[in-house]
Amino acid sequence: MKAAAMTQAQTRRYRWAVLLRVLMATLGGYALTALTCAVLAHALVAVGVMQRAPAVLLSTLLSFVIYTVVALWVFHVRSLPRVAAVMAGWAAVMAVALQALKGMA
Amino acid sequence: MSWLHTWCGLVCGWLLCAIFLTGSISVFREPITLWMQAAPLEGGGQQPLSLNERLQGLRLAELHLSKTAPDAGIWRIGLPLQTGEGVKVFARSQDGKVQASLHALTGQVLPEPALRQTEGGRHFMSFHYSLQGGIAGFWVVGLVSMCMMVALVSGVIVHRRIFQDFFTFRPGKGQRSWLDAHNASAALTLPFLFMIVYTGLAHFYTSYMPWPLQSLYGQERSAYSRYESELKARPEVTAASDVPVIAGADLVGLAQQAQSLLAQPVMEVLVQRPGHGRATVRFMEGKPDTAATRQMVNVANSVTFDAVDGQLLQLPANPPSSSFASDTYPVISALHLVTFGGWTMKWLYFVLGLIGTAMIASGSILFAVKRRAKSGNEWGLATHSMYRCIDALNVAALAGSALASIAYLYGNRLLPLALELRSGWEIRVFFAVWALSLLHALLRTTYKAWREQLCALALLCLGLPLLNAITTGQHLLLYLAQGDGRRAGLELTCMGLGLLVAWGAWRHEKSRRSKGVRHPRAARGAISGGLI
Repeated sequence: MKAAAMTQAQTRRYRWAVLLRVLMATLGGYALTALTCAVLAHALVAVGVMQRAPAVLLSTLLSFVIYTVVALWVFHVRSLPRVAAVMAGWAAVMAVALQALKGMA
Repeated sequence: MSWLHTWCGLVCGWLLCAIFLTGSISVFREPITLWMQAAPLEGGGQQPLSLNERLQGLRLAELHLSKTAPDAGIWRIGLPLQTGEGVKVFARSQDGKVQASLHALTGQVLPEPALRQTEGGRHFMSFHYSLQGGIAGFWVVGLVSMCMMVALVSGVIVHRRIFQDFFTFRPGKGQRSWLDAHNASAALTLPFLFMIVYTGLAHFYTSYMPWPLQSLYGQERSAYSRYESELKARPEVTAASDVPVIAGADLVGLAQQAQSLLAQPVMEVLVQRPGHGRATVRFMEGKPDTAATRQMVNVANSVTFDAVDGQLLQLPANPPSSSFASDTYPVISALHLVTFGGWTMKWLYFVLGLIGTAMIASGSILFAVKRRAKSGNEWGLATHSMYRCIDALNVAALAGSALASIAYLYGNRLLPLALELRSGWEIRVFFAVWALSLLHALLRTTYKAWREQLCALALLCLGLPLLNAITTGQHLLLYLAQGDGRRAGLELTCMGLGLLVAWGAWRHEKSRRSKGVRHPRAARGAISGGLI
């Protein structure tokens, strides 16, 4: 939306929406990436593909790629509530998976 | 995506520009440090020391250390290669440390060399990864690097025709030229840019993303070292049985044996727990010549002996073992720090890094030029002043950070030698000039700010050999005559860059003039300066 075509109230709402999206991409994206990579490391060990040191190495190295994709996706999806819902859902799944995998080990 | 690319690029572009520039400069941090220390010229006639002379140096160093630091926890002895170089001895004990340079043949303690106290090229490296701002700066650099990853991917999506654009350049056409410059420089260096940003982040991988490590190894401090030792578990020991054991061998005897095992001159000797029943001694070869090895990972090999009975404890694996776990991180680091391929690769990184800097800067300039033609009205009434600030930040990010870097070298030569904490003042000069550049850009019109700062930059770069000759009496011709390629290379490179900047400033001026003739009215304001 072009800023020139907006009323003052619309502008204010637009700015809050942008700020929220930036926070979701940076902080939310980081938290989600951290959780996902921790699960990935545990999963690689649990499946038996790798020892735990290379599993940490691989998942940590992938984290920067995952973070980039998450950040791009946050800005790509039009609806902000949808972004929030998917992120919350994904975080919940990952948290459960992490607990389960930690229990196995 | 276009929105994201524009704003992400703009907000991070200024810092990224400075980080890219200092990163490119850090490639040559050793020659820079050498130049800044301004050691007196040797006067030539240096000859390589023979093996016996080097061993004599080792014997004298051992004598010196056993007198001055008999109960130290560690001794470190650096052996010289040529006449005129001293034997460096270092010891650390609970009482403190002993550090000296000895004459290789007489063992006399040499006077401290008259070096300028300086951070040297390391300053550029510290700025590059932490903005000289400690932990906070380190995280800011991480965040900005992630933004660059995002801007790169979104940039490839936005400038979809980027690879066709690579063959398009329309100079002297204002906004179109900047778009072409941005696209062409990005397409040319795209693989390098992805590689350098990614390996930069990955170089600090467990610092930026510690959660997988903490989740598997726990939160304690020892977690990282446990992880690292599991990762590195390479079969290194393999003390071969066919090496004869010299019973009760002294340091010199062991050094001879180490040299024959390494097939390289021993450069450093490390004695742990000297004089103790469990003392060990480690002999290290010099830094490998990375141009000669044709390998990505170049580590100095070492041999370790039991210092009491002369038993061989560790040998370099031959051929070197490799695995995903043990080699991935060293390769990533080598890729980022260019510890391979010798000077050729360093030059390639330097040039590509500078083109990357230009790509980032041209993106921000493109934004400014585009908005000047058609305002986006992003900040309502404040839009015009915001555009002014963006223009000023563009000048400070590119011309300013370059000015600060060259001013750092000037500070090294011009600050009084007796100044306390001199190296800190040199760094303050860097930041002060950068701040002044921003202030100047805010006070002058955009066009004049660019012109004046580029001219100043060109003059400072071209005048560097003159400054050196006046302040230290050393100059380019002397360096060349002595065969000191590194210090001569620094001055020649600065002069070359100075000429390049002067040419850019001249082009800028010329294109504005020709625009001014065609559109006399448009050229009046600073706003429609044609190019910048």
